[in-house]
Amino acid sequence: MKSLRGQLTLRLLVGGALLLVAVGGLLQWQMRRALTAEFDVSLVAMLNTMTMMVEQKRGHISIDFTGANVSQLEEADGTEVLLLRSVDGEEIARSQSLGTARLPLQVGSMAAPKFLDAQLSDGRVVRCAGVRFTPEYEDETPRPPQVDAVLFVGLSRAPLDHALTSLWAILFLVGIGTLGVLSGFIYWGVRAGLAPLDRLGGNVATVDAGSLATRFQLSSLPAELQPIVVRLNELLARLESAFARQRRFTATAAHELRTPLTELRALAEVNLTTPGNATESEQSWSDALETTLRMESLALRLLDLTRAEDGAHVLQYSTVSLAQAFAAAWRPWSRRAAERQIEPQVTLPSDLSVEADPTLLAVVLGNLCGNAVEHSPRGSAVTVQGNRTTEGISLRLENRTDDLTETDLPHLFEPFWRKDTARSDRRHHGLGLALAAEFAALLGGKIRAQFGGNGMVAFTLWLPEKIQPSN
Amino acid sequence: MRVLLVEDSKILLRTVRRALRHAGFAVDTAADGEEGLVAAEANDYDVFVLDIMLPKLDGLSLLRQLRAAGNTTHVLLLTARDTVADRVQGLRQGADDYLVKPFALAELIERVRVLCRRAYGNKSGPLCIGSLELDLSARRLRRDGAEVDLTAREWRLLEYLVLRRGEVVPRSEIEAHIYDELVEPMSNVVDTAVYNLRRKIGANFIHTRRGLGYVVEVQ
Repeated sequence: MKSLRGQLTLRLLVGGALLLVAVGGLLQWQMRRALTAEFDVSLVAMLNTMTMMVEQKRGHISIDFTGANVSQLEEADGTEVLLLRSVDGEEIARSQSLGTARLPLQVGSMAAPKFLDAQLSDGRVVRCAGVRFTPEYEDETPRPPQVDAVLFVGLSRAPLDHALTSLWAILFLVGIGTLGVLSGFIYWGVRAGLAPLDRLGGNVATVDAGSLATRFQLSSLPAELQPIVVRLNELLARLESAFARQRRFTATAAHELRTPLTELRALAEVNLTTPGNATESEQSWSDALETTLRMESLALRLLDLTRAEDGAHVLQYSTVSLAQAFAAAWRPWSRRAAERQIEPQVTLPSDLSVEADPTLLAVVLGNLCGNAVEHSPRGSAVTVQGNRTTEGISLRLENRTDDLTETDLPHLFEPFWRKDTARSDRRHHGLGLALAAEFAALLGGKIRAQFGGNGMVAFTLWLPEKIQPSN
Repeated sequence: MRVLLVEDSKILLRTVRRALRHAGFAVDTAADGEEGLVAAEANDYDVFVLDIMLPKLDGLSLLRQLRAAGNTTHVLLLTARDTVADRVQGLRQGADDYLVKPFALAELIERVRVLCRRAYGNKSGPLCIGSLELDLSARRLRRDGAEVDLTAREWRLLEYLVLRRGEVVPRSEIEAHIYDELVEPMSNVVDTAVYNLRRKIGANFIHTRRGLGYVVEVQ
């Protein structure tokens, strides 16, 4: 598993190490240049001294070491070397310390000597400076033509290489030490920096289905984590609400199914074990039929709801007059409305039409009508209005309610939700509004419920006038 | 034994009442919590069978009100809620037993019977009273080793008197516990039932205390 702390630590360490290598390399290169330049200054000084000792007489070039300390030149393993040649390659003088080594034929001028490194036959490495120059004349007349000479002088690189090696070793040790200290700082820094994330992760890990009411405090968190925690809290609130809805659905679904199952089982058992008269027997069959029809209705409604949620309905669109559709949807409820003395007051312009699946629209309107008829107080009115709005065509059913409260609104479209927790009205399952909302969504619209004041509740259905290509 | 059944499903109400009556219980019914509370306060029951989700007054509230009023009658809760939390809540409110829907009628009847027995001091198991051998659980009666057939109502009467053996049980209490709301007050159903029972089990087991009631003597 990838660890953010591990990755961050590794990357910072690699970055730190590369930076140290780069700085060390640059430092070492700069020091090498400075030391070599200083070494070359010594070489040039030696070169100047040696060129002063070379002279020419009657076209003949020689070197005179009189008065000079040339002990290192005369020893086989001396630290100084010298080679004097004529321009045509004839060796004029060779120090003992040079042995039989051959030096490259690269020379510069006195102003800019040519520096080079050479390895002698015994393994010693020397740094040389080579120049072509014109030696001084002896006083003689007539003056002979001038002859140039080539002079190489060199110094053993051992002190320079030793200094460079020591420098490299020091730089390496300092680099390793710095990297170690840097590692400690990086580990501490990353750990301290990610501590709020660790704490948040630990707290999040403790949240399960039973503790969805948990909310995380923002005040103690760094600014970078606050947007995440805000969203996390919102997500937890939605999850808590969804779990609560699911629990309510399961509990009520269990009740809706268990009660008729209990009735059927009891009916079967009582008829098997208890001899009854003809009236009781007839009543039992009638009860069994009623229960079966109720279970069938429940199963079909649930199936419709599941299909709507899955989008499994194949829609057949056509242009539907809203006034006609509403009249058709009200018709099955008109008798019940008359029984309850509920008067519909409909204001639906005849030119209001929507492009919708007529079957689904009929279910939506039928459920809204049924809801209004069954739940309006006896003798009240149901107001129905249609309008063309920016959100599409709207149809608003408003009726009085004696039992609903503002807190009930979020639950109205939940499957199985009923105000009466005893679920005593066995003609209904509490699926109608849930189904209406799902079908409205399938038609590209929506239903909202709101309190209009004075104990009135309004259900508004919005539908697109023309079907959108995405639908 | 007299039972009050409070259940809002009319079908279940009819069916369970029929089964309980067939099993020998006197059964009164109520279709909602308020009606159940009125019946519970007006009559003397041995067991309440309450649905939890009831209109007007839910079963748990009804139970709370009964307990608050000092009613100690045993209560069997019926519900579709089957979680441990639901059961614990029901039992904490003062219920004695809990049955989750769907249930077997035979189990419901046995649980009601157990609660009835518990109401009279947990007197269970075969009893021998003179030449009578009575097994309340198996609902079997032998007299001098021979099986005796009793009707449901005769069973109820014998069981009630045997469970209260040694006590003089007033006629009104027998009426209250053996007969349900269908029986008219002031009728002589108790005397008739005792007479019929004596014909089957003999005249020496149930004694009349004139002006007081009936008693099954402990031997």
